[in-house]
Amino acid sequence: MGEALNVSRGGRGGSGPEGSFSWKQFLLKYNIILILMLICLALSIYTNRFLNQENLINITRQVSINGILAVGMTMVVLTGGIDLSVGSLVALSGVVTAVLLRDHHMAIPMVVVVSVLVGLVMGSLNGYFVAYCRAAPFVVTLAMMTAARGMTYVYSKGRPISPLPADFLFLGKGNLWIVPIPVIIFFLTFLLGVLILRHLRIGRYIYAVGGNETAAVVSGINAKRVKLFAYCFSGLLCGLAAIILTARVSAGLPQAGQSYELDAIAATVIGGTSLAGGRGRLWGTLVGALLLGVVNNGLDLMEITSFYQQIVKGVIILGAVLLDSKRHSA
Amino acid sequence: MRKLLLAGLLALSLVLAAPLAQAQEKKEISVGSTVYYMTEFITLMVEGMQAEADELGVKLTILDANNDASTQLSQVENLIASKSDVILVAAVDADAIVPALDMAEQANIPLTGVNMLMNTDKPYYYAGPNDVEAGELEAQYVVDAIGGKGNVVILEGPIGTSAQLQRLEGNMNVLKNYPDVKILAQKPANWNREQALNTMENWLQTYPGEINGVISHNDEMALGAIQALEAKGIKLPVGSVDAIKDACQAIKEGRLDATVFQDAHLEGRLGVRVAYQVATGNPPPERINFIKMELITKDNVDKLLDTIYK
Repeated sequence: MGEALNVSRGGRGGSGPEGSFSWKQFLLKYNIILILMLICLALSIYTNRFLNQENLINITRQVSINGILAVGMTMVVLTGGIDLSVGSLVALSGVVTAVLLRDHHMAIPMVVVVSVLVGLVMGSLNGYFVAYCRAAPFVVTLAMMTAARGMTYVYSKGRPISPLPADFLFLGKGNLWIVPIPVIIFFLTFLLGVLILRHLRIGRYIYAVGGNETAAVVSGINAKRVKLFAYCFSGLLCGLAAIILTARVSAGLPQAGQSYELDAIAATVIGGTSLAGGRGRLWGTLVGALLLGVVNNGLDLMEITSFYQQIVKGVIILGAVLLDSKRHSA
Repeated sequence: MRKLLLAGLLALSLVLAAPLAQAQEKKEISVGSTVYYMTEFITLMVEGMQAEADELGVKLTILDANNDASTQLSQVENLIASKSDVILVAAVDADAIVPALDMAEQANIPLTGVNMLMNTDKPYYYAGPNDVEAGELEAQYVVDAIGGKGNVVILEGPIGTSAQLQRLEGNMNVLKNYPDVKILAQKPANWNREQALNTMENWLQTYPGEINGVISHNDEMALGAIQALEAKGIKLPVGSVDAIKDACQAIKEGRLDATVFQDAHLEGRLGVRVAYQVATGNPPPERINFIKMELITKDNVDKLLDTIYK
């Protein structure tokens, strides 16, 4: 991923010379992985229930929804924006999915397409207002968060939508060999994100726009289109995450997805992506999502009552971000 | 080096958290539970759960699903992985908890319910309130208070939650018998006092002098509605559910008329007891164990104020 790192540093100047290997540089660069490994180590020492196949599969399944959303969130944050609407868009796509399945008996592949399209359309509205009307991303997506939640209630009449066909539930509960389907979808999403950011021109444009929009525009980049793309992508992934969530809980829930935006932002930021935009890595987001998942799982396994869990989680998020800010100031 | 130190500290914070966990001894029965959200009610219920667990010598773990159905499923997975003997669930959502029953069945760990019924045909053991009955009791009180005819408004809980659906069902069971009672308006105020206050203010603007009674799905909202009424100098019959301390005092002061008591402490105790009985192979005779719902008015409110709310 060295290439991606170089690109990511492009806007702000790198830290230290590349090429000559030093442990200090290595540790600074990959500190987030280090923390993840240390936490895993601590958990394995503390409880024998952590490090076994069943539990590790549980963790990956538990992180996939947040992971998918975080890939989109990273894209948006890299442009210097934020997307607060993801939780509501998941709920909206989720109830649309459930109604199409239950009341219209639509074929599952079609339902997946429609759900993703719903997310994409709503995301494109976010992108349009942010890019072409120059409205603040925080406000635009906050408005979308509220409005989309309202639409969800209207569409579902405020009731959970179930039962859903068993074939569909496979997308949330099923396995391919031992790998849960949600994990496979998450992994493919992650690869798609890496492909976009590393190998496609739009990816480099995203870093450029987030790093210095004026410079990007002067050098001929259509910054508006780049931003529109990022919000569309985030919306699309909401539709995808909604499929998994709906299949996992086996119902379309109008109140689902609340505060999912915060988890996605946490994974992004823990992974080292700067909220100012232009700097960040998708693999960091992956590790960030895993870290949150491991902490959630580990605290449950340690049978720590929820009140304390939240304190520990807060400390870890803050600590990870402090560590990262040190890295960038170093 | 300071960064390394910080990284070490972070890992250490997890290890330091370890003493917060209860000692792990595998011989005693362990009850792993996940509750939907730490409301005041659930906090009382959890105290009851803990009290019962202590008496039975059971190890109890309580997780908070933060009102998110997917989080709750993850917690059930984690409780299965941590080899609890029985899993006790106060469900976020009656439908969305059903996959958890399947998971537990596959893992051969019994799953029992407390507080919230699950929407499934599969048999399971349960202890909790009869929310339909609660809705009937409060609606009947309000209908009687307005003499069987007039206009009522309904403040609902968050749309789609079991408590909202079932209390509304109970309301409707009563109201359908009274063709002369008309529902002027009904709206969710999400268990929230301030939202209910605003909603009631708006209703008083929309239907000046037309509202005869208020049915609220919980006390917080009832108290908000009463504030709106008092600000206008209006006194109407208000029926409610929960019997929290504030509401009992309001009844004592004559500001609120009636609420329905769901004994949270007793419910928590019963929940753990049923889970324990199931885990030890002596399940209770009935699968669904409702705790008795009781209408609280001026006549019997002292009973609560002098005991649990002393």
